[in-house]
Amino acid sequence: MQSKYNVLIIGGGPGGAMAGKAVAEAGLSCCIIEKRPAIGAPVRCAEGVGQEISELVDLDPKWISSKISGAQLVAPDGQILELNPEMAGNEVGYVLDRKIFDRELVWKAANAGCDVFVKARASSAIMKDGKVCGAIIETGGKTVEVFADIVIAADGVESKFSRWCGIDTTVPMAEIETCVQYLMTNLDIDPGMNAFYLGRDVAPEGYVWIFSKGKRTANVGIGISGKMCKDGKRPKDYLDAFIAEHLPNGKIIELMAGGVSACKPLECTVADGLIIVGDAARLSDPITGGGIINAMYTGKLAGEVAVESIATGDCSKQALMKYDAEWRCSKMGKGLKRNYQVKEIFLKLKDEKLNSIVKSVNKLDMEIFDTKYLIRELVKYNPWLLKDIGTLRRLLD
Amino acid sequence: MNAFFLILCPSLKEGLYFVMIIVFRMLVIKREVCGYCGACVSVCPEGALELVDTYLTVDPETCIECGICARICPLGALELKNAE
Ligand SMILES: Cc1cc2nc3c(=O)[nH]c(=O)nc-3n(C[C@H](O)[C@H](O)[C@H](O)COP(=O)(O)OP(=O)(O)OC[C@H]3O[C@@H](n4cnc5c(N)ncnc54)[C@H](O)[C@@H]3O)c2cc1C
Ligand code: SF4
Ligand code: SF4
Repeated sequence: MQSKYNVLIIGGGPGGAMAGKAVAEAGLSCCIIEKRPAIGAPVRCAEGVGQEISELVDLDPKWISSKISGAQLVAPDGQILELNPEMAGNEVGYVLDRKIFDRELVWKAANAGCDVFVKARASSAIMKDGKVCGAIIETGGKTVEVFADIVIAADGVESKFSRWCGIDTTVPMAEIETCVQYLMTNLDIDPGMNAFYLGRDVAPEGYVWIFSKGKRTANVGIGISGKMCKDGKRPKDYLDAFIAEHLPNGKIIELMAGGVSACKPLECTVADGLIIVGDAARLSDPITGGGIINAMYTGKLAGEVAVESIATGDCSKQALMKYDAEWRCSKMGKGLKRNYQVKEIFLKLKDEKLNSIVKSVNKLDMEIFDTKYLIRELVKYNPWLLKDIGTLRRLLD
Repeated sequence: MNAFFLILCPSLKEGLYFVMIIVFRMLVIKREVCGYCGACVSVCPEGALELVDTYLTVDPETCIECGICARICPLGALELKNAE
């Protein structure tokens, strides 16, 4: 490990890897430090992504566990809403194998010239006159100081690095989705379909997912709001009940827990000498919890902005604001903003109302599926939606 | 801060005696339950928790025993314990 790099990246997830690749490809020195002994493991993710991931990376079939051609949404009363690609535009996707995927993304960064160290943990920030100048790193029983022109915090949901730089990254209790997932086998499922189950009794303020990992195998998991979580009613309790009812013959071959933020993004995702990306910046989708693509996109953008700023010799917050401004007005940024509002609406809905929505969606002409048409028709069948919720009116315009 | 003082003065008039109950609360990590996922780290308002790879640590100096982490842990691996 050198004692000085142009860019130091904390965390070797998809966000950190994409940042490392972008910086190294521009010919600058950079280093990714990852505290775990292996990139990508253990997996803390349901691994579902939309096909737009191919805009960010050339997909390799080895990373893909399953190609998804449609999804089922199961309402609280058991009605099924089928979402097929014909009706949802191009929304096909994949279930990845992140043990392989994350590792290969880091390989891409390494091949471009980025240094990588595993079992190397940032334990605090080096600050000088309010500017971030590097990190203190614990590795192999030693404590070392590593300086950098810019540090990119890609340290995921824990997001401690930005905290050490004086930025409050706390996720409000009601806005953490607390999750448990099993990798299960011996399941009778359609390998090309993902399923989502909704309802207060199934998953309060969240959902249960079954994401196909190929033949007879799937990630079966649950996320519920932190507010709804307590002894006897933890995600694991709900998930075990769901499995007993729906997948009694399945066998569990892996267990993992996790947290996904469903809050607004950080108010500002840069500081002097610092850029924050992916989950660390609270950029996972407030409705679906998906954050892989957002981490990749912001990681890449952060790398590019870091390169430009270093070239001009200005790594101040003001110079790095370009990153913050650009992602906010991107498709991703706008989507996060809209979905946060939609989430607020859905949290208020009682199960009966959800049932009624699904029923009316099932009546729709799916040939002309687009969001505005969907909302207009929904309101036609469920006029209370407009009365209850002013925000929908705005989304209609 | 890992102690919390409750001072009761039932007869202030005389000012002669008071009862002092000291309740120590501390966060207990059940390691055999913890799935080292980091969810608790993200909600701690004080930044008192840290995941050292798979080993969760709590800094008793910064922890204010608010219980938020224990509330949201997906596996129920955290508990605030009282001791008098
Ligand atoms: C249960 C669950 C299901 C999910 N399902 C999906 C899904 O289906 N689709 C989807 O798109 N997203 C999903 N997500 C979200 C997705 O996993 C994240 O959005 C994504 O991993 C974010 O990437 P990242 O690079 O920002 O962070 P991460 O992938 O979390 O990477 C951060 C890395 O930083 C390391 N690190 C942390 N602190 C330090 C430190 N101090 N020093 C060194 N290294 C450090 C960590 O060990 C970690 O490897 C899910 C999340 C959970 C918990
Ligand atoms: S939230 Fe629970 S399972 Fe996850 S790291 Fe914290 S104590 Fe462990
Ligand atoms: S009890 Fe509160 S302050 Fe203490 S570690 Fe948990 S969340 Fe942090």
